[in-house]
Amino acid sequence: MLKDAVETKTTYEIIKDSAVEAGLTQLTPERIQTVILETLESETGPRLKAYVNMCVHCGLCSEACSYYLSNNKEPRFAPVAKVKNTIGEMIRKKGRVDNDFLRQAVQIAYTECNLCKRCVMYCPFGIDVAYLMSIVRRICHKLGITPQYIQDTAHSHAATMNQMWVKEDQWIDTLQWQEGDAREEIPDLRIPLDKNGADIMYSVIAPEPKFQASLIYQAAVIMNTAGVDWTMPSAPGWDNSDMAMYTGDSEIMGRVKRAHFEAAMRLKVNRIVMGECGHAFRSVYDVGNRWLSYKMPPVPVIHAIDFYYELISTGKIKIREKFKEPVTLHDPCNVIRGRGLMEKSRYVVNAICENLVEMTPNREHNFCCGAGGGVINCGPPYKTRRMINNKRKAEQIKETGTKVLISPCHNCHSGLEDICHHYELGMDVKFISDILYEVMEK
Amino acid sequence: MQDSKKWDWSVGEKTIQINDWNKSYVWVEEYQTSPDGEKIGAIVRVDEESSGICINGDLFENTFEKIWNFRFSPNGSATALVADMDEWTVSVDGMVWENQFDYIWDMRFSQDGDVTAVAFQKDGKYGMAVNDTMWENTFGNMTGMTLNRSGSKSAAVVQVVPFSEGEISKFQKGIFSVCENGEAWDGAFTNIWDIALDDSNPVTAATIRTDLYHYTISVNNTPWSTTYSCVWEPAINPKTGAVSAPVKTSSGWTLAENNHLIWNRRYKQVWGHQYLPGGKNIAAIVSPQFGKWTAAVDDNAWTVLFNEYAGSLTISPDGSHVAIIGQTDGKWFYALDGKISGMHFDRIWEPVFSADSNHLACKVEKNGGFSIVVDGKLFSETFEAVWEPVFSPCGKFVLLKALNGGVYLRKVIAVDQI
Repeated sequence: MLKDAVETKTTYEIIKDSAVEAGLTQLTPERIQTVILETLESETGPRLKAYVNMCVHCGLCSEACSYYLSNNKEPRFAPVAKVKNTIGEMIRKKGRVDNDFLRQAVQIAYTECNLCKRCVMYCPFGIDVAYLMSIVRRICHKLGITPQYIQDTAHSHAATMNQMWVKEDQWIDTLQWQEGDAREEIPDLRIPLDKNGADIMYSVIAPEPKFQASLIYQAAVIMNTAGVDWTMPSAPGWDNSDMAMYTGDSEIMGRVKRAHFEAAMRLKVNRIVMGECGHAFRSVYDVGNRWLSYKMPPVPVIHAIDFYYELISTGKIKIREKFKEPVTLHDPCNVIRGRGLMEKSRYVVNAICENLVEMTPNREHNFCCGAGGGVINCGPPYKTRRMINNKRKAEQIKETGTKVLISPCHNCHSGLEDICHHYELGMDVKFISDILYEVMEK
Repeated sequence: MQDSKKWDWSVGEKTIQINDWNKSYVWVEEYQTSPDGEKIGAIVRVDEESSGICINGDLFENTFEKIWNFRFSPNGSATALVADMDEWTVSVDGMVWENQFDYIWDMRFSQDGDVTAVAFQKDGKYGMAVNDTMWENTFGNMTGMTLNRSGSKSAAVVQVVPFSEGEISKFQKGIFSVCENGEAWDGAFTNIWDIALDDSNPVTAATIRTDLYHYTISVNNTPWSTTYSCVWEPAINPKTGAVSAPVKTSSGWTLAENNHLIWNRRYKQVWGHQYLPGGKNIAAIVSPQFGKWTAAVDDNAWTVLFNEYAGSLTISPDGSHVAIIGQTDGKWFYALDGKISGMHFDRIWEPVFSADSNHLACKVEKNGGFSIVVDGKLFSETFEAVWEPVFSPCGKFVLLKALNGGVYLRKVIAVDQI
């Protein structure tokens, strides 16, 4: 039994967030109604109408939702209930909703739905609840009631084009620092900056230069060992992440994505390879590109899983000795349900590890980490509740009996570390690159 | 700027052996060529502790612990950012600036190459240094550095209000300003991007966000009275000083100038606009329908549409021609005045016009080899690498700089022989 499976509080409460509370004080009933109606009128269309009209409240989405399962099947956590209690009421009341409603809508849309789209697979009509929750987030953004921590992240994106307030010199300096350190291991290793015409532009998310610079080191070793013609941009556009996508600030999302694509276009690379991040992939491959009017990314974008698959399957990276300890593998929604990389991730993990123990369910049916849809970015005020909401995920992980958990996604990684710590699972959470770097021939 | 009339334009080939550089040094970084093609250089690792700059096989006397961003300026100076003992400075033809910094980056040149500017960080404060002179004022953070063509104006977005991460209310009230030549505008905006500087008019313009939702253009620190849900980078009319920008209206993207909409059509996207010489016409990259891209001149979109991308809008010197590059189904083309190139490429670089505007050339990659395409004809030879082509002042010759088999080639080719 999990540590606090019994003592878990299931009492539902609205969590106080200073930014949400401050935003609510600025609202009037007229303002609320105007924003909601304008957003519904100008930014939605047949898709929303079809979803709203098609839902027959069958509840088949409920069992698909890890929040519902983690909260003793409390009906309010069923996706259909979350829709009803947010966008459904906004539509039914024609925007005449009050602050108490909005306070709850913020909590549901930003912290009780991770936009993982698992429920979409179980809906007989394929209703995309993540899309509906994204509209709620968009409305909350326009009302100025976004949770503080994720709003600050969106501010960072707006000011610096990266999510962690990394200053321009800090970025380049960090790359050169990692390059220097890696030369202790591979004397002629380079992280080529601004190499025009390289095959690949490698992009990362800002937590890497900010907190996890060793991941850049590992990537550089992998690239150099594989003999890849690669580069990294010195200018803004290097960060592929996009929390503005999750706050509902589409305009900043688009600006950040444009900077990313233009960095690649400026360097004339054939493709972008991005590190192990899921939401960043979603923002580049699905959401942000389309806001800009790109049907698909204007330059091919390859997630790290896909890239490792290419390097290993073509023999560019050879495995010296497989990782011996049993591992389990998390399937990040944004690159599994969002891109279908489930078999490639297994090819890679099986190539570098002796014993992969599958979670159940797995692949596109895997449970969400409860973090990567912007939930973890809402910060400490919501962490305790986030842990309760992740109980089902904790159970799923624990059932594997392994002590190493691979997560090829940054936000999943952070969320899973929180889960492992909170539920005392005693597991070490790793990126694929952590193990690949360890077991590859150099 | 090098006077290209004085370059050697005699048809023929010069070569420089570079295959022994790899034997002489620990490693050789990316090669760079001088504008006239007479020099090829690279950052080279001299030993475990130091790097240098090698030009035509000769190593500059000064070596450094770190070197990056080596380039030839438009006037042919070998310029790079260099550091010893974590003190950074700029090296120009082997001579270093007197000022030293904790870090420098974003090196920019004036059009003639006589002015070199960098962004710097010193003691945690940020500013720009222009020809070894630091801005008088420095700031807590700085982004979006720019330099005008003459080099007379340097500008950047600077943080003028003390701020800590997480202070979202303070951020939204405004903490950023524009700093021009070391002097910041009064007041602050929530965000500022894309500073445009002009050579012939006393105009500085930038995209601003006055809160989380309202975007507009600020001209000399005075925002337009109309705001939009989104705005892209401004451009300044070289003749009149008018400022224009792509703006997002409730019905789509279009172009505004001096606070008024000037294009009638609405697009899925508009950006990268430029005034044609004379200032009477404007060209831009547009997306007339979702997922389709082309160029528009004065609100008239070309009928040729690319499925994946259009960009690198280039205007001929006399303003009579507009060229872009575009991608459809993974194949790259260029389009000139609305007509797509007959052949496609694996990659294509920015279009280059001759001074008389009569010829167009591009660096291209096809089937793994690099070459140039001139007036729609692909040069018969391919190379391991080429640089972007340069036309002679008369437009009759094109300079091709290329690498093959450890040899650098400077070839002058008659345009009518391609």
